[in-house]
Amino acid sequence: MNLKLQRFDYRSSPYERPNQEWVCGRLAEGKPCLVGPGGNGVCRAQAECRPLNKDGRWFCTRSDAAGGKCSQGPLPDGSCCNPIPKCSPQPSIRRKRGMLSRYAVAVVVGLLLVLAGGMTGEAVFSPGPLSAAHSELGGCASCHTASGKGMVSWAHSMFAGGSEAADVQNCLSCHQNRGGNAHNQTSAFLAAASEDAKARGIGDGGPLMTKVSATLGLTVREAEGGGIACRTCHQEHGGHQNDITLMANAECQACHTGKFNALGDGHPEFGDYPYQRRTRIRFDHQAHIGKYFVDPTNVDKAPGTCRTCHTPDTQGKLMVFAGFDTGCASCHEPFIADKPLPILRLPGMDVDSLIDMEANTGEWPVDAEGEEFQAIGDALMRSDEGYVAARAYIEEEDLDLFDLSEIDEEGRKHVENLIWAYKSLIYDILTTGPEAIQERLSAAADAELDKKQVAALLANMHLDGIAMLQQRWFPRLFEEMAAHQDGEAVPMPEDEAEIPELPDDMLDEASWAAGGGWYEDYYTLYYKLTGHSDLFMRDWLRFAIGTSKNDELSASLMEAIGTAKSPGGCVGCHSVDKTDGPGVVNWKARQPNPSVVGFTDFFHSKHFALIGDKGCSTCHTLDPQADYASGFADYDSSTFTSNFSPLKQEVCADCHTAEVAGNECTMCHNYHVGEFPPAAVDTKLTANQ
Amino acid sequence: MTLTRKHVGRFGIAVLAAAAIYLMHGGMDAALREPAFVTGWILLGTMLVLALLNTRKKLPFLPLAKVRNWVKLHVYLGWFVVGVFFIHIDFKIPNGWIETTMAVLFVVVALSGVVGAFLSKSLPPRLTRRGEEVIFERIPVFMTQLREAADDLAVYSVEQTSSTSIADFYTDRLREWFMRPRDYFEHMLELGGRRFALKQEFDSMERYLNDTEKEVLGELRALTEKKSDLDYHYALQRTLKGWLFIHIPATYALLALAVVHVILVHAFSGVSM
Repeated sequence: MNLKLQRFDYRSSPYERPNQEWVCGRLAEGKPCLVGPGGNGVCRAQAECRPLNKDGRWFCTRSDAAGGKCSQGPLPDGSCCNPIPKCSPQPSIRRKRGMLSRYAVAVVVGLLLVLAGGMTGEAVFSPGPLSAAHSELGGCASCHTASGKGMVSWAHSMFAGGSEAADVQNCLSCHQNRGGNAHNQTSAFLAAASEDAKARGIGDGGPLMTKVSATLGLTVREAEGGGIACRTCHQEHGGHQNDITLMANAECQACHTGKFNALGDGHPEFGDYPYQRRTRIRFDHQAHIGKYFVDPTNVDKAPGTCRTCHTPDTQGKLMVFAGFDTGCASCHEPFIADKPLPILRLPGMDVDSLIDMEANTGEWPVDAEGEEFQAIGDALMRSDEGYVAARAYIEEEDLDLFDLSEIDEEGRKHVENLIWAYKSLIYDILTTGPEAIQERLSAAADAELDKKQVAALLANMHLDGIAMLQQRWFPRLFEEMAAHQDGEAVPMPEDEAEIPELPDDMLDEASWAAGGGWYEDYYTLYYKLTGHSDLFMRDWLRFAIGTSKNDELSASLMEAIGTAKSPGGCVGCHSVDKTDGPGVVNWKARQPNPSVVGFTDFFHSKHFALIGDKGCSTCHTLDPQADYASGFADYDSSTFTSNFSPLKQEVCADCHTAEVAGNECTMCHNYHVGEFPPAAVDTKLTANQ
Repeated sequence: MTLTRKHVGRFGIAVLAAAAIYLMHGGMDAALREPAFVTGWILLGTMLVLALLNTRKKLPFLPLAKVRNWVKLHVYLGWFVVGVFFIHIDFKIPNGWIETTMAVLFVVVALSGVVGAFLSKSLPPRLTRRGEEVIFERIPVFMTQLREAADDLAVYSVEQTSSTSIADFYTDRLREWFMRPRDYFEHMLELGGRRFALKQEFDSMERYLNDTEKEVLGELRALTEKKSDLDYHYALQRTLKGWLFIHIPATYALLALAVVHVILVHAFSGVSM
């Protein structure tokens, strides 16, 4: 029995065309016709052959593969005697596969369109849920400007682009002040910072991918419109739990010109960190701990540990100074208000000579003995040209006001002007009030003072106080000023006006003001400090260093009230910062400001459990050689010497490795540097009707 | 199927190429570029090249290298694309509707491709080892021929032997089996249980037959074995063609979504291509 099924010779094997779309409907029965369906899937079979007419006779043309010529031959009409019944052609395997492919494409595209136009809307196009903080943003157009223009425009946007700058602005509409240049800094600052980092020693290399990036010559792309686009670092659509602020170390080093591997491997030395400026409160740790605290007279008042004076802020970030009452008062309080501040003192004059030369001065107390000009009084009279010229003359000529017998005409004129300046000051205050002080100080300081400032500078001085000065110092002031203003000569009278004597058993004014306040004693107006945090001193120092634009005036005032030896000695502890522009007196030690983000963060409280017996000195080691005091010789906070040795990088790097505490750049460093107040809500006030 | 040095070498080239893409991706990432755009285009471009195999098969008359070489390129580029795909998605499961669907489709395409490559390597040698070479589309014809031959033999046995033993055996046990392809999984898994059972039945029956009947039964046994061989070829060839019913439709669906994906990512990136 010959069981060979498959033959390949053309006589016994029809040609198979797997590429054809349709197959005979009888193939499944094992009886396909040899004609086969047409390309459109229609059965085209009619008969097994198409007879050939030759010399008027029909001949069978059936192929050998179909069995060869049939025995009956064609019918007389020329048709084949073996008609093939019609079938329903079936799709070939290839066609079935093609149809399935088309169905698959139609299903996914159709489903996409249905979802886009139906229940999900544009959410179907989202590459993933937004992070929790952004999850309430409404629709794609909140961030993607291109989205709002409709689907048709997307294809155009694909080629045209151009919406990046607008997209960035969408981010900045909530996240103000965060766009633009890297770290919110100028290019010059960043370049200088890079140079500084290099100077402190920086590794050469960085993570593998950073090296690959350098090899490929890749740099960070600048956004359309400048700066760096938010999306460069913050990749959204990672899901609700996705933290879009996380940054890999390699990503941080994308911009940095100096690349390194890790904190302990190539990171620049810390340099001055964390001592990057002079302390605001001048406190010499070395001197206090090494000298004052061990002095037997102070030992019972000395703090026992660092924590007595330094406590963590609410974030656990900054160690905040506990304040004067806790840290300083026990020793320093008694000495703060021990000296009164002379405000205005009448200079002593050679009254007899003035009488002899019939000087146009009016009365001047013969018992006044002042030898120096007082800074605050001087500030009040600086707007008086006669006073300024007189004072300059006196200083240049080294004129002795107690001996005016040899004085020439010019000198006499200056002395007269000097005396009228004092009288005018008192007269103006009495007749014009605080406005006189406002005008005089504004003119002297070349600045505009307001009434509130003036009131603060007067420290609640009552009109009666000035009136009392007038009665004691210049009893005839009003008559003399009236004549003087009329251009009449007012000679020095030979007899002094009678001043009513106070009862002997009445308390003297200095004793009255022992707790602080104004008093007059021997032709001098004094202000006695109330103690620490005296507002009069605060406001005059603020005026001297911050308000006044007259450097000479500022220097004069600061010499009088702004030194460690001045009454109160405020500036002995509270440093003054002034380089360009208005200066400030640092009334407080560094204060936490959650809105301010710096380049580096350090959370003290997170490290308390890790430090051993050395405690704070694990990181903060006193430097006995440091000349701490020299840092306060000027008003520049950046020129200083810290009490402590520079922080060693190893102290941090021992723990901050990838395996232990982590060494991600962002553990310590911030990218968005600056002041970012918490978001506020503006709600219009409306009353319920 | 054995792994040769050539296989390892080509696979190694695909892995190295994917590793190069990985480094480029990491390098771009480190420079805060968006490497997904680059890897995405590489992915799409390579998938289009892979899809060209189907086109090449439809154009056999064009001198565009042998299909055999196209298939080799398809397999190794396929491995490369799998690598690029995982790099492109940053080794994370995407969570957008379109992206997730695309990822699922890609996995379907890739897995079906791997299975298909395995089948394409392992089944043809099995086909040459058993039975004669037959064209898949013609198997129904041969099956009909065998059934008709068996029918004729059953009638012939009654005429020749005046006994219905063989005809009854054929009618009860074999005719239904001859009607259509049988024992798909048995053939795929090379189990041979049916063949053994039929052999035993033939052997059992043969003991009770005379010489004439034995001769007829021998012919029926030969037809049965031929049918079994034909079933074997049908099962294997059907499998060889069947995996493409998953691979190709999923590929086109994936490419359709890829076009949408490309438009979306570029339109929403804010920068031009």
